Amino acid sequence: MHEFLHVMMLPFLACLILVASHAYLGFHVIERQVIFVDLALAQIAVLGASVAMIAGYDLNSPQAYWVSLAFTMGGAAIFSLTRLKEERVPQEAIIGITYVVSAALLILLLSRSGEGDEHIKQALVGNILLVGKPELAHITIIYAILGLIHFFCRKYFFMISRDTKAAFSEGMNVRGWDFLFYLTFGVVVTNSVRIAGVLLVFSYLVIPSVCAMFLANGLKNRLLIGWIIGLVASVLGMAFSYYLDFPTGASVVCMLGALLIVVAILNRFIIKTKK
Amino acid sequence: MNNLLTRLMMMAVVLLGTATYSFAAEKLNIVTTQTILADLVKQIGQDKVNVQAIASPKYNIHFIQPKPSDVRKVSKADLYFNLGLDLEAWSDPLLEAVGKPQLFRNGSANVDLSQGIRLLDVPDHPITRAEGDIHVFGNPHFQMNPENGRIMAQTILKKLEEVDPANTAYYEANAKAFFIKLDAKIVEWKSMCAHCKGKEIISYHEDIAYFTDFLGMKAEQFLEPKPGIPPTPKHMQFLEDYAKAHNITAIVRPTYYPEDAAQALAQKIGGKVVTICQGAGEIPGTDDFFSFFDYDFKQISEGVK
Repeated sequence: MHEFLHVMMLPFLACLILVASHAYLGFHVIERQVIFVDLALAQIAVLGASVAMIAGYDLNSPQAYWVSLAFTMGGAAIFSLTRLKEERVPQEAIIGITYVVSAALLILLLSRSGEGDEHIKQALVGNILLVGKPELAHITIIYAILGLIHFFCRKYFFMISRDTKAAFSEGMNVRGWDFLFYLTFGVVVTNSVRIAGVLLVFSYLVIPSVCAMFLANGLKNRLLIGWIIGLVASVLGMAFSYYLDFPTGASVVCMLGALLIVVAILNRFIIKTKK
Repeated sequence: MNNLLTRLMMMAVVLLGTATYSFAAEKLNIVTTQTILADLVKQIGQDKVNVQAIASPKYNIHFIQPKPSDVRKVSKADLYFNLGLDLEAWSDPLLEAVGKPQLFRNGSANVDLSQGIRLLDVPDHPITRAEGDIHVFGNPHFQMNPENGRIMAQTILKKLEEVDPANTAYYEANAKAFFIKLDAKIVEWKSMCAHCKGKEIISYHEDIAYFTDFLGMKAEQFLEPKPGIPPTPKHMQFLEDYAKAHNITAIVRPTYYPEDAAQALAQKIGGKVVTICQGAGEIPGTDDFFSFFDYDFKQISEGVK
């Protein structure tokens, strides 16, 4: 047990922070039906970091970090500006296109640089097992600040997420709030992917929220259930990874998937029969 | 009476247990990044060491994802041997996760085996990663020249003697046996590949410079100079023309890179894809330093006409 804690303590703390932030953001992502927006923003951030690298900065330098943030801001602008009152083009299509085109742009850029994309991935896609104390402190502070922003703007963010048409008709500056939303979201995703990798970040965003949708209706209940599911999957995933010696991030993802199946079955056979 | 017997038996078990435990504790626990290093340490340390390698030879050494057991392994290690330079990009984060300063880069228990090696492809001016070469210190794949095995073995011997001086004679004797076998093998490999000397090959990636250097071969063109980036149509055409103009018939590829691009080029030039290993145990029957090189030299000698 002592050894387990020694190896898995920091990864577990990182998981706690990720669960707290992502299960909440996942609620918005699902309500807005922009499931793959995190992958698109992460890809844009990678593109930004690679541009900085080609300009001569190291991938892990502060300069690369800021360029990558600036690109994320561009992505946030794209997603907020393409939000139309009458949805003629689905938002999901814009997200998919952004992802694919920025991925292809990355290949073009890298084909003229010294490094292939595996090196970029290595530098920008983390392994949660090896998360360090400075990284942990970094995301704790940033996510706390972003959490405060979300707390104070909660009225607007939730209104837009739940009913865009109503928000537009009330005369709200939907695009402005959307820009702020996608910006905070992009910062979270970029930092999380560096620590935990794409698979785990996506799973923490989407799976706890989907589980919660099966089990409850109200916002508070759904958030609470999302956090519990995320926490349980993290503990199980850590133990699974440690005792059976599997890669940690993928273990947690599979536990989240397994919990979703359990929840879906519970929902079908137990909760429904009660009603 | 029965009670006494049980007690005696229990005592015996405990005593035996402590005996085996203290016997096991006498062995040095050594972790290496790569499998060839593990075998070199084993050749010299033999019964006095427990050696484990982290990187499975089935994967590119650049891109290993350490698992919880790797953190555990390293945290129990007395010594940590690595190829060094910037080859094992995952090594520093792993050592930080373990958190023992003596194991960190430049720590007393961290042995960088690139010391004393004559490095190839060292940039002659300061470069950034963007400029076209990811290896700012020089080409780090030096384990591919068996002559470097001698230098690494000497570094290993020195370190083992330093931390375990009581067994100096033992380590010296093992090292001597290794050097004698290595000398004989080098003669054998060189004569097996004598016909390759001066020949040129196309390599998949810039990682066999030391291998070709040992055989006096040339590898100046690369199929996929950047891992993950497919060759452009122009580059494929260039390689085809280049291979025909220079009578190149062999495309050399490490096992963990995809075969399709190499195969496509080989078909166009009427040549052969030569698959070689970069780590011991990468394919069955290449488990130690010597069988690993036996395999690679046999492959190249058969693939190059």
